This record gives sequence, structure tokens and C-alpha cells, in this order.
Amino acid sequence: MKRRLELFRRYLDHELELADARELEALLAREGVARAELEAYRSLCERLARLHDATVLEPAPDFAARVMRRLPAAPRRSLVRELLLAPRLSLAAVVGLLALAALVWLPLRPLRTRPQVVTAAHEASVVGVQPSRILVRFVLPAQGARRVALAGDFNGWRVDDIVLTDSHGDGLWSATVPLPPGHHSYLFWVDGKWVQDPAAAASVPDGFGQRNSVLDL
Amino acid sequence: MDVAQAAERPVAAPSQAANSLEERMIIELCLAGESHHFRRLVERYQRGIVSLSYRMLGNRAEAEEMAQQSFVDAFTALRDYNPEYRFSSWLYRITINNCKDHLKSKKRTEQSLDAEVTAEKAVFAAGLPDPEQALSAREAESAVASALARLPLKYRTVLVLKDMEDLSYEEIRVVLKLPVTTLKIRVVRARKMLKDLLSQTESQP
Repeated sequence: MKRRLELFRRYLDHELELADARELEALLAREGVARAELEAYRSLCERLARLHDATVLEPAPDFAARVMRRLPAAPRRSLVRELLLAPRLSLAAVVGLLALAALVWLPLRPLRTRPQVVTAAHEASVVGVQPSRILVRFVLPAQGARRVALAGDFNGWRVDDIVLTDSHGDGLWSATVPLPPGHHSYLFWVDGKWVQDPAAAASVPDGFGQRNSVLDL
Repeated sequence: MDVAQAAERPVAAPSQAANSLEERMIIELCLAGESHHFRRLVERYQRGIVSLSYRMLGNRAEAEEMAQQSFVDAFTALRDYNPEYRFSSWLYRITINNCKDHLKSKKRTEQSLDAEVTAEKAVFAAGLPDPEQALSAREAESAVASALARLPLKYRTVLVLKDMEDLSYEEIRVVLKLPVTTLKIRVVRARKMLKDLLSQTESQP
């Protein structure tokens, strides 16, 4: 019975190999009950497909607007990211958090483990808290590009400093850069040519007849 | 029934196709703080997600609410999204989990959904031209919907994804995070349970 049901499933899911098909044909030729059973399954799948078509719902016209109103200000970050990204997080706050974590952790650790207290200052440097820095993700679609770099007033317009990566091989290059709050001019350097950021909110003349993308943080 | 012909049909495409560049771009922009771009993803998938929620819940108002919540949850967790998988699979996963939680919290798996299905009959009538034909087709679909609603949740879920949404097993594996072999066994059982339920109800005078 188990084999029969598996053969039926393969038939219904279009997974029959040639040997399966022969086995199923022999079974159907031999047993009228099996033919009726398979027909019932086939009919069931058709009815489910029809039910699918009959249950396509058009969302209310303001569906997307209502979703957008309910969105939080930004996607959630993990705790580590939160520490990394919080521009105004003071060192004292980090020390406080680490002290609290130590208070929770110390009583829970195995008793035979040798105590190993790491100073808060050391931990703070490890997590890389950068007060007054904001991590900014730069993204540029550049299909077929060989090298993409980011240059701006924040790195002295050096084209060998911030190199973007196409980590998925789909032509979408990105880099995340810590920047201080303020006004920044920048461009992408794509295979030896300056390219403006198509996602930039604004651009300004660069004094040489071209324009720089700008970012206000 | 031509078994040999069925054997020659192509197997469904694998699920782990790359996302469209546009989708990746939208997601990156949202992560960079340009959250208004998320609206394009909502508009692209809203019909599918509302319909999927409806198939799971059997109630239009709840389906809209659940779909909205699923989009909000997706946006909130956008940093957890793995771009190796389709965005739609990830969205399906969030929606299915929300629907399951909702159903569990209301303990609706044991409740009869007949009333709801009846109340939603108007939906089933959409697109059915001939009134007489529409009536019988609607009744037949109502019977399937009603039987489907009576299945235990885990079986209903795989049938909605496999036989209604027409996802491949690879796609369902991503959505439900279950091995393909488990899914195939579950589909076999679910179809058998549904067939038996339908034959019981439809054989009654």
C-alpha cells in the first residue's frame, strides 16, 4: 500500500521515472480499484487547483498604504548591530550594558570555570563602538563591472580606499562605511570612470563641469 | 490516463533561483534607510499574500489583517533575510507562520469552518459565468474548502502550498524548513485524509 501511494504521489507530482511509470501501468492494468483510487486523487488535485483560482483575493485598494503606515522607522537590528550603529551611544552606556551582562553571566557560568573578567574598556573596543559615526550602506547596480570603489570628501577622494563588493555575483555592488554626521560629497569609481549614485537624494556641481552625489547625515 | 506522458513532464524548477536585481536593490535601499521603497514589494506580492492567508484562514477580514502583519514583520526582520533564497519564499514563510500562530491561538483547527466557508461563498462565485454551473461548481469548491479546513494544520499547510499554490517541494522546504522526504510523506497523508473526508461527506445523501 505504501508503495502504491508513493507511485500515485509521483504521478500526481510529475516525478515518475520510466521504471515507475511501467510499474504504475502494470498496477493499473491489474487492479481496477487502483485505477479508481488514482482517478480520485487526480480529481482531488484538480479540485484543489480550481479552489486556488476561486480564492484569489484582490486586496483592498488602500492595502499597501495601510502596510506602509504600520512599518517601523527602520528594520530591526541585532544587539551587536545596534551597538555598532548607534551614533549617540556613549561609552558609559556600553560599560553599563557590559556590567549588567557580567552580573547576569557570572552567577550562571559553571562553577569550575576559572573566572575571567574582561575589562569593560577592552570589550568596548572589541565591539567597535564608534560614537558620532553612522554606518551607511552604499549600493550601486553595475552589471559587468570589474572594480567599483567609493570616493568622497570623507576619504580624500581616494579610489583605492573603499572598494565595493559584488558578493552575490548579480551586479549589485555594496559597501558599508562609517561616516560622521554632516554633509558629504561622493562618487563611485567604476572601472576608471566616475559615476554618480543613482539612489542619491541630490547632487551638486563639482566645479569641473560634472556633478557629485551628496549625502546628508 | 496516460502514465507515460505524465512521466515525461518536466520537474518543477528549483527554488533557489536568484532574486531579481530590482528586488535586491529595493531591499538594499530599505536597509539603507529608504523604507518607502518597500511599498513596491508590498504592491508586487499583496495579492498573493492576501490570497495565501485567505486559503489558510478561510476568512477575508482576517486574511487582510494577517497579510498586512506579515509585510510589517518582513520589513522589521529585513536584515535577517537571506538573499540566496527567493524573497517570495521568505514572505510565504512569515505568512504561513503568522497564520499558524493565529489559528493555534484561536484553537480553530478543531472548530468547524463550515460557517465561514458559507459566509465566503460569494468569493467562490467570482469568475464563474453560468449561474447554474456556478452553483454546482461553488458547492463542489465549498466542499473541498470545508474538508480542507478540517484537516490538522500541518496537513492543510502542505496541501495549500503544494496543490493550491503549486510550489515545488524545494520551495516548500524553504518555506516550512522541513526535509523534502518529510514533506512528500506529509503530502501523501494529507491527500489521503482529504480524499477520505470528501468521500465521506459527498457520499452522504
